[in-house]
Amino acid sequence: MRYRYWFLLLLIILVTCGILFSIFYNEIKSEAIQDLNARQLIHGKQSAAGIEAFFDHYLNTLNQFAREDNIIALDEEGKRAMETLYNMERDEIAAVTRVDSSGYIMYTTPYAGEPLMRDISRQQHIREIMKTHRPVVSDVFTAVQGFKAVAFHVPVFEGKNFRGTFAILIRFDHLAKKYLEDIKIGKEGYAWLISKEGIELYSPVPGHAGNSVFENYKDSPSIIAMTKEMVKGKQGTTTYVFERIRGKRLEAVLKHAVYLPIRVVNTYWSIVVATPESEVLYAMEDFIRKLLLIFGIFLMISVPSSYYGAKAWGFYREETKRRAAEEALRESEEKYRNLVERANDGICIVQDGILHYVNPRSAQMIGYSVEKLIGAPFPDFFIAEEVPKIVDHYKRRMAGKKVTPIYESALRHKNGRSIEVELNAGIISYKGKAADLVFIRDITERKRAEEELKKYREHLEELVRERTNELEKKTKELQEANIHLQEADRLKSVFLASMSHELRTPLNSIIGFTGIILMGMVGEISEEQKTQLTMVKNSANHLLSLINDLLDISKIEAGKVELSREKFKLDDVVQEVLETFSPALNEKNLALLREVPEGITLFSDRRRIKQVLMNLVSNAVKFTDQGSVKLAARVLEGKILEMRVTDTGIGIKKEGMNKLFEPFQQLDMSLTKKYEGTGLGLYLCKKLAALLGGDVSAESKNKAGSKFTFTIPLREGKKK
Amino acid sequence: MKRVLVVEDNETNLYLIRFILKKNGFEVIEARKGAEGVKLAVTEKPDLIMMDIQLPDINGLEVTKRIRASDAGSEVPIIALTSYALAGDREKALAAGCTGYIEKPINPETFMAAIKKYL
Repeated sequence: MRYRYWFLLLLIILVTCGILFSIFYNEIKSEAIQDLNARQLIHGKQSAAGIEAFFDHYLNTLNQFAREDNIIALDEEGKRAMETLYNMERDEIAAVTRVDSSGYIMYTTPYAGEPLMRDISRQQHIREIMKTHRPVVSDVFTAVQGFKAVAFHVPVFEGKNFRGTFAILIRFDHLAKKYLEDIKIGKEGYAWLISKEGIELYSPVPGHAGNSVFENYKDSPSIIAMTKEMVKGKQGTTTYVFERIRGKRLEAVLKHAVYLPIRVVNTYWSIVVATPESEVLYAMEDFIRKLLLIFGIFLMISVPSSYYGAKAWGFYREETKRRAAEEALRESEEKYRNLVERANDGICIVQDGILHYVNPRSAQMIGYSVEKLIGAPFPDFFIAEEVPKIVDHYKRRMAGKKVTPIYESALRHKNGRSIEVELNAGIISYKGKAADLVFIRDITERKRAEEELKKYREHLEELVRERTNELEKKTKELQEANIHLQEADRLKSVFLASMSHELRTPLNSIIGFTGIILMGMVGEISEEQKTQLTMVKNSANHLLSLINDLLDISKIEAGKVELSREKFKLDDVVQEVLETFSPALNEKNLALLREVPEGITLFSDRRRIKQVLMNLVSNAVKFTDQGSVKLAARVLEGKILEMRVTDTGIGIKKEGMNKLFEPFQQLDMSLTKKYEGTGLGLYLCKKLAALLGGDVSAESKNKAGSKFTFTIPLREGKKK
Repeated sequence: MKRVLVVEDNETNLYLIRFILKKNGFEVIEARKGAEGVKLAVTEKPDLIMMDIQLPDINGLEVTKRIRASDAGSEVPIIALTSYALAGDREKALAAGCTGYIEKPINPETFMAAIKKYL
């Protein structure tokens, strides 16, 4: 644990050292580079000054000669003067030449056997001087003799007339040696020189001199960039990467360089002084060594000290934790002691049959002091009858056998009274040995309450039993009464049925004989007789339909109706119904509308269906004085036939709607006289429709006609 | 002259039917009991038989079956006189061999039209 701190501290020290070292190192390196560049600049400037002085010196010399008449005219005296000049300066110059105004060599010394009057007018610098009449310096070129050379021409005037040039051929090798080769910085720092056009005039790299920098270093963008600045005549400090071949390897060398222009007669050159960075580092080596030593010593001191520091910190942390844990334990102990001491249940610990701990509640329960109880054998405090069971439980539990942990028992109070308790025992480890932890709950109150509850429950059960018996008796009475009622109802229906039959027989003769008399079969009758007999016949017919309806209802209610099912066409039934009413419709001048699709077949009781339709259409005709009666039908969901009888008659008042299907309720009693009817028709229709598995319903508005809807299944089932 | 056998125990009805038939130019043979009806149907060979269902000895359905069972009575039209009170009488009558039915009470205005359908 504490090593972690140590490692952390060590890491911090190391990182800090590294950063400091890096800062120092970079600072020093930067200073070293500045220092280097300052030195390089001095070298460059010295070199530049030397070269400029060199050319100034020869400009003066050449101008002096060029003004001499002997030179202008180039007589023998002049030629001798040229030879003298060469001999005086042969270390520096390789030839002295006089060129005429057309660019032909007039004379040169030392004469190397070339033909005189050679035309050099096409050379760059000759063209320039012929044009500008001002001194020129040529690029470096390799002379016929094999050395590097620079031609320096000054113009020759006769009066104001241009008479050609007077020139010297400068040994560039000597010049370079004098002013450039001597520049050595460290082991590998050196100078190189380029012309205004970027031609390398001098370079320690073999084969470079005479070629363009842009060609020599076409793969080194940093050198090309520097060269672009140089050919503008600028001065500056930079770095560039120089690739050189070391053995078989191509190695890139970072160089620090200073460049500056050199004024040369009519043009300028630019000198670069460059040193590889390794030189700088080399110069710094000693310093770095010292720095490393300092850091080394620092680390040697800091590592052990950080180790011991971390160790001390670790001890401190451990100690703090231990104290916190102790405190927590103490609090926890206190909490549990409080819980146990103040518990409302008795709590005790039994080991080897002896009470080792009892809480105050335990002692209070049986009237002893805690001190008296501790050390006493626990069976002493149970009533005698309970002791064998308690001891057995205890022994079996301590032997590791499975014993019910919660059970009831009875303690013996100091005064001899018995206390009912519930015990909850379990094994714990106490002072390194197994012990029995027992919770004791006084259940005297609970027992008493349970007893009361039990008594109450028994009382309640008794009550319920009594009530149930009474109820059963009443139910039986009711059932018997119901059977009587049903029987009475049945008898009523049977009575009605036979009464109807008996009532009908006399009607046979009334209807029959009024019929034949009215038809004139018996003989001529007067108009008065005819009117009166018609009244008799109508009354008899009314009575007949009343009896018929009554008979049907009583039969339905008595459950005596047998349906007679057959397959038939709805069209036929509709036709029969409408034919029956066509005289009445004609008489009242009502329109008859029929909207019944063809081809609907039913399997049901044809006569009953017709009876319902007859009733509905009869009502419609009866209660309509003008307008129309419409009979429509359609099949719903392929299995229900819906028939609607719509009229434009007097309609039904809102309050009348719920009484519509009740018996003997021709709604407006004042209408009874006008619209004669049995008052049983709709009641019967409803009953019949239900019998056929369907329904009849009505929609109406007072004075705005009625619509009766009659629905039945296309196929009437077998069930009643 | 066509001859009609009326099997009917109720004197009033019998009188009424006889009256209407005679007025319309038929000869009427009467039977007041079932057995008598069967006998007359075979011996008299009427052109039409009107058969009441409720008779004092054997009921009209049985009478019809017996007439139909005889050689003489297999073809003669038999019209049942049915009562509204007894549901299924019509179907039973047709099943027993009746040609058609007329519902009681008899309406003299429509009676003849019904009779003529079966002649």
